[in-house]
Amino acid sequence: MKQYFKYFGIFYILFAVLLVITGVVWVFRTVSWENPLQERQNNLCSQERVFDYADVLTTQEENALRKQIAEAEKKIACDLVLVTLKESVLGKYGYLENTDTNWEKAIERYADDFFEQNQYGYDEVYGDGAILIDNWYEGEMGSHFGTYGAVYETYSVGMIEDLLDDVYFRIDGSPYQAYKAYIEHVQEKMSPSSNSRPSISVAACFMIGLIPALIYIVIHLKNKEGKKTTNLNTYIDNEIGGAPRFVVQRDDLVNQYITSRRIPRNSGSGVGAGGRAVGGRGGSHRNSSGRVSGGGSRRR
Amino acid sequence: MIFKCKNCGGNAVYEPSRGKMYCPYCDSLDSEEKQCEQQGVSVCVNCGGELQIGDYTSASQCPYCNSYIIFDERVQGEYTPHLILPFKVTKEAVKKMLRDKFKSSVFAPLDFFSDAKLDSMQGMYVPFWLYDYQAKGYYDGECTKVRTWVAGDKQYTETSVYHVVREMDAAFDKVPVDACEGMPDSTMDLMEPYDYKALEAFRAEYMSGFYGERYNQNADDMEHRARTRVNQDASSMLHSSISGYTSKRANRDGVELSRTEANYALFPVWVYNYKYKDRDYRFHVNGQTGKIVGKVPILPGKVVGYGATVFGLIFSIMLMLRFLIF
Repeated sequence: MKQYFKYFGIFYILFAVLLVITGVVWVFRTVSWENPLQERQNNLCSQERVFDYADVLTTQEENALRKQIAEAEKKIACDLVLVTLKESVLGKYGYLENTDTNWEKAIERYADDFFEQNQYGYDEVYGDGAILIDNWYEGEMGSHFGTYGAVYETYSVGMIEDLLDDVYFRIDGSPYQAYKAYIEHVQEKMSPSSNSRPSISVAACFMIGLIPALIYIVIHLKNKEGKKTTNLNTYIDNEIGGAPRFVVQRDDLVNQYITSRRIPRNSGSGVGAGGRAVGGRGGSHRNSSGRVSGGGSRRR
Repeated sequence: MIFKCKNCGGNAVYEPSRGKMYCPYCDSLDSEEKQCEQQGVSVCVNCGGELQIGDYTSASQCPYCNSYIIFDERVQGEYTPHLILPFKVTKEAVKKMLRDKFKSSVFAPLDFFSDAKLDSMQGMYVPFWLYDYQAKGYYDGECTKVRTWVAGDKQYTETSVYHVVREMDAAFDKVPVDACEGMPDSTMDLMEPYDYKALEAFRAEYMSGFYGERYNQNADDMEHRARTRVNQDASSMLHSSISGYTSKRANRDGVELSRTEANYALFPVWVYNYKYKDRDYRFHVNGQTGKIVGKVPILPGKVVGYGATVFGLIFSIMLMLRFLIF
C-alpha cells in the first residue's frame, strides 16, 4: 500500500484539492440559489401562474405547481406560466381550416397574447419568462411552449423540442408530471450553473477516464525485452573509415518533360453565409404587437 | 584445469574490476598457477567430486568444493577460441544496474531484486562466431523525380528521368553470431554491440570464476544468419544512397558477399534466472558493456488494479471539473 500511495500520491493530492474546491463551490452555489439573482422589476403582472381552465389538475396539484414555480422563479429570475385549455383556439382566431400550420399559428398567438395581456416578465413587462399552453380541446389537442426575453435568448430549437418531448411523453400518464417536467426543464436550462456554459456529458467524462486507463494497462502489460543498439555501420571495418566505399555513384539526367492540366473549378454553391447555428432564439417570431419571442408546438 | 593461488592454494579467479587474477582467500593478485590438467569432465580436478556437466560445457563450478574448473579438452584443439572478451562488469555492478533500471517497475514481484535472488546470477562465456565479409553492392536503374506547381488555372508536372548507377564496396568486420543452442538468437542479437577494442587472444585464465561453453555448431552451420544480416545491411546502405527520387525501377540490384574469415570467440554474459509462478524469466547482461536484455515479470492483476485507479481518478476529476467549469 505504501508503494501504491507513493505512486499515485500526487494524483490523490490533486483529487483532494479538487474535492475541496468542488465542495466549496457547491455550497456557494446552493446558498446563492437560495437568494434571487436579482430583484423582481415587474410588479404589474398577474400574481397567478397556474391556470387550469381544462380542469385536468387537482387542487393539490395546482398548489404544488404554484409552489414549484415560485421557487424556480427566485432561482432563475424568469416568470413561468402554465395554462391548460379546453377550447378551440382556431375558432378564437378565425382560422377556418384545422391544419397543422393553422393550429400552430393559433396556439402560438394565444400564448403570446396571454403572456402579454397578463403583463408577465420578471425584469419588465413582456420580459424574461416562459409559458406552456396545453390545449385539451378535441381535435386541437397539443402543447405550445413560448419563450420570452432571457428564455428566448437561451432556448434553441433543439432545447424546445427536448422540453416538448418531456411534456408529450408524460401527458397521457399524468398531466401533473408533464407540467412539473416543463418547470424543471426551464429551471435547469436557465439556472446559472448551466446558463451560457458549454456542456460535457457524463459519458464523455467516462471515456476520458477510460481511454488513458486502457492505454496505461496496455503499455505496462507490454513488456519489451530490449532495444536494438546496433546500426548499419556497426560492423563496417574501421580501417576503411567505418563506412561503405562507393566506387561508382552516378545520377545522369536522361530525360525531362512537363505536362499540364486545367484545374476544374467548383461551380457549386460552396460555403455560403452562415446562419445561426447554435444558441437560443429557437422558433423566433413577432407577436401581434410586434414584439419578438420564440417557442414551439407539438400536437397530440 | 584449475587456477590455484601460489600463496594459499585457494582457487584463483579472474576479477573483472581489477582486470587481474585474484585469490579471494588470501587477497593475492596475479598469484595464480595452472594446475592439474583435467582428464575428462566427470570428476572435479580439485576434490574428486562427481560432476554433472552438459555436452558443451567448457567451464563450470564444482558443487562440492566450489572451485571453478576449466575442461581442457573443450578449450583445446579445434575448440580453442581464437579470441576472448574478458568480463569487465562485476556481479555487484550488474545487481546495481538491474535495480537502477527497474526501480520504477512497480509491477514486478517484490523479491525480483532481492540479494538472495540476484546472487544466483552466473557469469558465462558464450561461444560466438565472428564473420568477416567483403560485400559488393550494385544498382543500375531508372529513377524519376516529379515536381508539380500551379500557375493560373493550370497544374504543371515536371518529370525528370535519371539513369542511376551505384557500385559499393563494404568490408564487414567480425559480425557476431552466437553458437550456443541454449541462448535465444534474438536475445543474443540484442546484447550487441560489444567493444572489439578489448578483444584478446584466448587465455584460459579469463574463464576461471565463470561458466562457459564451447561452440555448439560450427562456423559453416551458423553462417546463414550472418550472411542474411550482412546482405540486408549492405542492401540498405546501397539504397540509402539513392534518395530524393519519386520512383525507382531497377534493372540490376543486388549484393555479392564473400566470406574472408570466421573466428571463434567467447563473449561475456551475465545470466539471471528468475522463476515466478512456474514460469522462467531470464535476464542477460552484456558482461562487457552492461547492456541489459530481458523481460521483467509483471503481475497482471496489479497492472489492472493500477489502471482502475487511473480510470477512477481521471473520471472523478473530470466529474468535478464538469461541475466546476462546464
